[in-house]
Amino acid sequence: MTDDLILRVSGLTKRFGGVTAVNSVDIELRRGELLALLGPNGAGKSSLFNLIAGAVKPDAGTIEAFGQDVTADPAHKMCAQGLARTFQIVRPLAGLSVLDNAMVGAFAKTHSVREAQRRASTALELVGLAHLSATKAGSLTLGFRKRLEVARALATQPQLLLLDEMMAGLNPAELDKFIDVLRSVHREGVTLIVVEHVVHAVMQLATRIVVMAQGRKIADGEPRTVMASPDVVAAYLGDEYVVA
Amino acid sequence: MNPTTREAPVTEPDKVSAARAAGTALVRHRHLVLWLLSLPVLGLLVAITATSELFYGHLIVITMVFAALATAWNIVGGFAGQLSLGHAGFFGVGAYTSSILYVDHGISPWIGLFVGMVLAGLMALLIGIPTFRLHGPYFALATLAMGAILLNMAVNFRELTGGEGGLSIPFEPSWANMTFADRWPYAIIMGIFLLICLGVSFVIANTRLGYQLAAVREDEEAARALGVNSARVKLIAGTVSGLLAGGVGAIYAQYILFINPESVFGINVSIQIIVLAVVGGSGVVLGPLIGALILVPASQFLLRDFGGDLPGLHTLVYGIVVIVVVLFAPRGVHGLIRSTVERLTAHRSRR
Repeated sequence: MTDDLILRVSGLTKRFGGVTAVNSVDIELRRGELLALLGPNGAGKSSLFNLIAGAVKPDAGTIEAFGQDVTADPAHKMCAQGLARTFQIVRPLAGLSVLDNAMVGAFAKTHSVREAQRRASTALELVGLAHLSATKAGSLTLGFRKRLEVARALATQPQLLLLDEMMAGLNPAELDKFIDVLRSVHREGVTLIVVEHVVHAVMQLATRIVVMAQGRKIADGEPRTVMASPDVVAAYLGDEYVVA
Repeated sequence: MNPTTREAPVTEPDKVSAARAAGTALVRHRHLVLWLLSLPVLGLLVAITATSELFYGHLIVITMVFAALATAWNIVGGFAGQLSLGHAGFFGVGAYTSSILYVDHGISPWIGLFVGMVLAGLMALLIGIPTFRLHGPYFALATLAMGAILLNMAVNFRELTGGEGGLSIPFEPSWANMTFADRWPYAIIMGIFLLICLGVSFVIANTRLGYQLAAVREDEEAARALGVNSARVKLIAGTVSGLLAGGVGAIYAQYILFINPESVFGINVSIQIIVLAVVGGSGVVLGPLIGALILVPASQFLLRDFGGDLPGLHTLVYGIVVIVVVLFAPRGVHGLIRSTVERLTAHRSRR
């Protein structure tokens, strides 16, 4: 594995009963990339996320991250090694304050309460939640909950951040703000994989796009090339829309 | 200090702002103040135990016993949100271990106290290792079963435990035997142990472990994604909790000088512990203490005043108190106090 390769997924397969959610997927990711993972509903994007993040164990294939085989590592270990993820359906620690939520993330890499507080505050500031530090996470609106989800992941000081449909359900103002946040996170040197349905937003941001359909990877490359490919159009809109 | 109070005091007399500054300092260092206050309070309680009639001395010691038990329970049941339905098991193991060692082998209860704590902690560890890896009510069920099994063992292993008849601890007063004719030394020992339980809780709640336990309680999968080794932190909480409950058992046995299966392993004891913690406010350091301070004296008074004429009435009234608290203060008395204070301070700063 070369130095700037941060993640290599080979032959990754996951079946749920008779359904093959992820079917022998290969992906290589370099440090500093912002990879967008696209695909229709049920394409296997979230399952791929859960596999990479260690929440679910694969049936076949290997995952290498940060230069080591991490295929069997559980989620908390992946986090300690520098991989953070958000959940498609946000999971705030509802009874805790916004600051405490972010501090739990920060404690992944530090034992000091003061240091955790500092890192948590920095992350909250970055996503524009600092003014709500003392609020109970359970009483936030959806837009703020999504930002908290990102802040909490950032507080773990990840090298690789997986964001699962963070833009869905946001209003246009929230969306713009969110794209700004992603830009600044990316600029700080964090490698990102984002799953999104909001294609135009993704096109502005991504350095590379991977498209999945029915558990398989059907395209991988530059945003413009990928979005123009007939396979991708077919997967999204049906065969009859493909202009030869 | 919030911005509105900072802008106001131009026209305010110095006295008020000085008082307010002192108030702010008190709030900021409230933990330190509470800890400093705890020693004179303990001294006062010991003095009351030494001078007042028997009933009040007993009331103080028994309140301390249950406050310590509920505080220990809170570490796993409140902080980690892992319901233990059999904490009497840990309590009883501590009580029987030190008593058997003392009665049968002449080993000092002080040593028995530590052995009992270690055994109770080990038992919590053994229950936690398989159950904390699983999702669902397995820990709660396992602790419930453990309580029932230990109760039966205490009844049936007659040669070791004395069976239903229980164990009487010889009355040979001395510090080495942890046996006293007066009640005040028990108030000292139990009071210090209660402070240890509160101290351990306080340290856990205000460090990394406490944050990670709270995360596990709120959402275990999210906690794991944030780097929390959930099985490990739950196991630490469960073991510490069992350890402390075992210690209370050993001291309790030396205080009562008689234990039987029902009095230390009974399901009533387990339920009582949970009720105290939940009524006071589970998941916060002082919650179980508050619950014990209200309910234990209340039940003792009810038992004294009505226990003879109307047996059973005290449990009825006790039940009603619990229902009222749960209805009107679902986050416990501690939660009620906190939200009242917040409402009052919010009102003042608005003016």
